[in-house]
Amino acid sequence: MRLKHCFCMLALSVGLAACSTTPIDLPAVSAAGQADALPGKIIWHDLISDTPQETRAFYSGLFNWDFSPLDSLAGNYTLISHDGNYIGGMVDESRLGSSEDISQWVVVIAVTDVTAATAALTAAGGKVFTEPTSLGARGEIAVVADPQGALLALLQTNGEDPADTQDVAANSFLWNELWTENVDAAATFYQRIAPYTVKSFSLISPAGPVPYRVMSAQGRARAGIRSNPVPGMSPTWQSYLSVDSLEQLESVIARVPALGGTVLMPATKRPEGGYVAVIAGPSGAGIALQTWPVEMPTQASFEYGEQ
Amino acid sequence: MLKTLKILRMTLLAAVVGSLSGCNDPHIYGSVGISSGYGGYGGYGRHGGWNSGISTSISVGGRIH
Repeated sequence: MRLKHCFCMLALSVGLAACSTTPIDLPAVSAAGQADALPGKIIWHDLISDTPQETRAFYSGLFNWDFSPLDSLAGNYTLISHDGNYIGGMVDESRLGSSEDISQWVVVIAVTDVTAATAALTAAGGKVFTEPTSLGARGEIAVVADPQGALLALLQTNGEDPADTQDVAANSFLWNELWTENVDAAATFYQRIAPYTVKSFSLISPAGPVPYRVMSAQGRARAGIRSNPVPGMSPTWQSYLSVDSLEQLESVIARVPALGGTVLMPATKRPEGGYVAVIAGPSGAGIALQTWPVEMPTQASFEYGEQ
Repeated sequence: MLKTLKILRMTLLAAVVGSLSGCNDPHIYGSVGISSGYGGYGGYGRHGGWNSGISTSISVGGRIH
């Protein structure tokens, strides 16, 4: 009788212990003691993929990225590194219980106070999917959407965000751009959650002028906003990877189909200089590729100016 | 008495099993794909808007400086 009683208590204790919240601990996005807070900077990228194994093979094959699974977040998080530096993370969508395909790259914007930023976002019409949540050494994160529906995350690190650099390594993140319906409304919104200054441009293309906004913080251009170029597609943050040359760009594009991806737009000359292409990985998550650096065009028919 | 204790023991075991099956910490992206009222965020590579004429539109933008 006493043995059975003890068994019940032991089973109950085990059950309660298993149900206790498991602390999340992701590595910091920058080395300690070497960086400052840079609110407004896009400091990380997470990839939600419904085909993680194929996606891993895709990016490993194209860019020699390395993928290191972590036990954190119930084992559903993989660190992505390039040339020894962590550049992003990957999440297996099939383990999220999603009722729709949400495969995509998610930009993570640095904020100084994620609770305040989330409150400001809500007041400005944004949506909160995940309230501020501790990620241990990484900081505190909130997963949100802007009023027009673009998904993103806000991250408050421990006051240290990845330092700005002059150069951008090939096959790493070069730029981030919001494709949205109302460009000015979006610029106004993002100024509510981060200390951006906004410059307005009118980029002239053969198809006509394209309104463009550049959001800057700490004196550096942090992201762009433009009208959604894909009719009917939901507003989304579009990330760009750098490639050294047109030759490298074409080489990458040529390998995309064999690795399970799709070339959405082949290498195309940009009015602002250089070339751009858009590809999608096996999950359908899209990413742009842009040659960098670029020389500004001298042709009079391609102009841009500050408004 | 013995029957009551047996019922209590089985009830406790059932409660433990039930609590274990529900012990899944929510993922930070776990709520994104189950929210109603929003269209699909992802998989835009499968979106039909990527026609042959999209290049001119998308080629404008990107990093300028």
